[in-house]
Amino acid sequence: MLETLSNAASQALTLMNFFGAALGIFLGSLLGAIPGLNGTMAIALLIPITYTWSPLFAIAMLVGCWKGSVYGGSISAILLNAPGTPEAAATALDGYPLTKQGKAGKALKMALYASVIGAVFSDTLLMVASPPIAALALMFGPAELAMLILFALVVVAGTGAKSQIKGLISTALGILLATVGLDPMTTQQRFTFGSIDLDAGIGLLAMLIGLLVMSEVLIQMEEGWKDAHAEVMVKSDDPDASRVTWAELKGSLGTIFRSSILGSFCGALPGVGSITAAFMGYDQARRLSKHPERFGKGEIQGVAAPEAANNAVCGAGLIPLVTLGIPGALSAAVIMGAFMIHGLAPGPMLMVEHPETIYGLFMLLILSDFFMLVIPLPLMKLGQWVISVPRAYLFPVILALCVIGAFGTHQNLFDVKIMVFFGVLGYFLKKWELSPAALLIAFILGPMAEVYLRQALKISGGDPSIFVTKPLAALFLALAVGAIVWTTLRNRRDKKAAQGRVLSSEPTAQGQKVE
Amino acid sequence: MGRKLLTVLLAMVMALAIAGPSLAGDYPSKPIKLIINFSAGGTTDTAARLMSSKATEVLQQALICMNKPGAGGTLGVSEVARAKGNGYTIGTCNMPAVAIIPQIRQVPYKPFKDLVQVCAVMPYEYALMVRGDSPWKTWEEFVDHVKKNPGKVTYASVGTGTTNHLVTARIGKELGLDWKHVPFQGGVKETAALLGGHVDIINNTTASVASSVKAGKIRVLLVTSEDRLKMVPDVPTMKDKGFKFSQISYMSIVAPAGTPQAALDKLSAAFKAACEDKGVIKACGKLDLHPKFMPGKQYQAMLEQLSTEWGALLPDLGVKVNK
Repeated sequence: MLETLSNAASQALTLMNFFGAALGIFLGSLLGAIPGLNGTMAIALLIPITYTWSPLFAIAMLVGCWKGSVYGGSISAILLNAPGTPEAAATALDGYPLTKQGKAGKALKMALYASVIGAVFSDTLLMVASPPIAALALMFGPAELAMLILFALVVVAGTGAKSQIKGLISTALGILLATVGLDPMTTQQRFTFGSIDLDAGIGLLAMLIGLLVMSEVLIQMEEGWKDAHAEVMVKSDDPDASRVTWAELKGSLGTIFRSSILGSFCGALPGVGSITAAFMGYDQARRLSKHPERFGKGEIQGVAAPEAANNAVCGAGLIPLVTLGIPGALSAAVIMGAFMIHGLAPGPMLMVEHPETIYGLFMLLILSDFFMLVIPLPLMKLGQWVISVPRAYLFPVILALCVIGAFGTHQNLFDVKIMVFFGVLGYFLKKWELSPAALLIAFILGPMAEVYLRQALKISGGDPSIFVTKPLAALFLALAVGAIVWTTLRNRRDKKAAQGRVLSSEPTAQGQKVE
Repeated sequence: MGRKLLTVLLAMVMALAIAGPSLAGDYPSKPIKLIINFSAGGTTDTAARLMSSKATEVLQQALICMNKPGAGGTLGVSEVARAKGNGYTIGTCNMPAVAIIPQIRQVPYKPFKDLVQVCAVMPYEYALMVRGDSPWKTWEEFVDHVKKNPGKVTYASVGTGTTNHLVTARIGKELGLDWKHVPFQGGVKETAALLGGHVDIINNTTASVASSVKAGKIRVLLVTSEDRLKMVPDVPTMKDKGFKFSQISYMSIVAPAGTPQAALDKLSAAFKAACEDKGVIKACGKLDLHPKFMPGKQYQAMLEQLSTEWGALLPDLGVKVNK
């Protein structure tokens, strides 16, 4: 074992491999930070080039690119409210309010620290605990996954919406839109209106770019109509506004740690993904916070939580890949191609046949996490400078990048149309205070819930008791019910408290919404 | 100055993002676009990219691989069908996208009119597999188990209307098995469900689970493609067990109808060379992929026959047919 490790170290820890990882992180965070472009695109563009390189160099670079882009997305989410990557949608919820308060530097750094801690946590799990985690992940069959997704849907539905009803409207709309495409069980067409492009469903990336980025450009264009030369950011002279204080970091460590566990869990389960992880991370931070009312208004923990969670997905996403040959996340599936083209067939024999390469890769991954502390720093500076550019110059460029990003993923003009459609829809959603983020998470979770539910019922022969007789399924069903009860009780308590306040003091507040 | 720098930087990023094949007269005089109808990282993608590097050498022109995955491979194939038949757009194709899916649902191409099969390059190898720690050591033992437990056993496929589903359903029909079909979205989730014990048996490509088979986590009970597998040479095929059909699907290269015969011949020769190249065979072998060349005309005839054969069976196998 020791010999394997030392051989692995000598194979992996070369200047060239470090350079590969660093280059990956740089490219990933750059493309991630540019609204419209994203990491999946970067990996897809890079992968054919890497086929002629050494496996470690290539894989370290691709994984670096993945991690970099997951972090990079937070830069534009925080600074512009236009998430550079889908994973960063939850980060914008509190990141952008912080920017508006002049605390952009603080939010960016907190996102970075949380990302690095999440990534180190997840890579360490990958290195030391892959087999048991993979075994745990396998226990999740259709019935268990159906209940897990139901639970996720219950806790994150409506995130970012102003009221419960508006949250539910966004959620329902998201689930409806997700039914477009082929029925997952019968493969018959649903709501495709004879368009082959719609057979594959509405493209997630194209939709996201429209819904999250283009809509924000439209909103801010409207705001800036009167004053095209207005700058986006408020400047603050307080030095604490551009750094994370020790107390803030210490206060967020619990949240970061819980998010890292959640993120790793979501990463190890095939198909759950980093967007779900980020939203669940955000939700746990809000629920367990002493000041849940501060969330959505610029709470620093609301930036730390989703960033730790989405970065923790990366390392853990490789766990089922190296132990079972099953990629845990979308980007992991693409990276699987890099393993295969170098003759490393992913699966249980990988560790037996190529232990040195695999352990070398693990070491490289953990070390490269620390590169992440340094490499994105210039991007942060550049980002803060970019938003000091007047909107009239900035937004046309972002719109052009949205078009390129939507087109670039599959070189399909149809995706551009999807992007524009959702850009306009997102504009109205924001106007009506219906949360685009809530629509997005429902769009992702809705079809999963459908597929797993129908598969589980196929397995049981139509008997719904499968959801209570399987222990893990029952556990998540109970959690889902518990979450509904908890939320209802809390809402009622809040309402009473609010009414109490209204009655005792301010007669003027009577017309105000209390939810 | 700052503004200029920003403009230059953004222009560079845009240029990078839209930099595609440059368009430039004897065929081929410019790069050829190869549309891969499955996603990057899968077996079709890997095999196509390994072969295209050799084909590039023979053609003296680059093959530019692009992935257009989705809807059972029909999205990529329809993109080829839509392209000009000049030999500069070709794609990969799987059997169901041509012979089966167009009978199940509407597709915007006529499989035997809008497309021409250049050649077949690799048979997909399939098998019925169970968990390594399951009690069934042979196919007979498993069939016995299903018969003793009617309505309890589940089999998984990579989706309704795929060869994985249809062949397994037909086996069940011929043997009179009462078992349940659970479709999954692709081989990855199907394999995870088997390994986790959530379904009893799966029909999947063998290359994608080679590592698990070698490690004893998955046991191959019956080879459903035509020939025995190099990976598990002792496992019988359907033919060995007396079935009159098997699971035939090749990865083939298709071109839009109207592509000049001379171009088709050159492409076919290039892919033949790739299939027979030692380097390609070795690289594919590591992944348990085994290229085998078949002329386009021969494969086209095979597809037409498969289309008729399976088309007649679809309603019996419980698949809704598009009228």
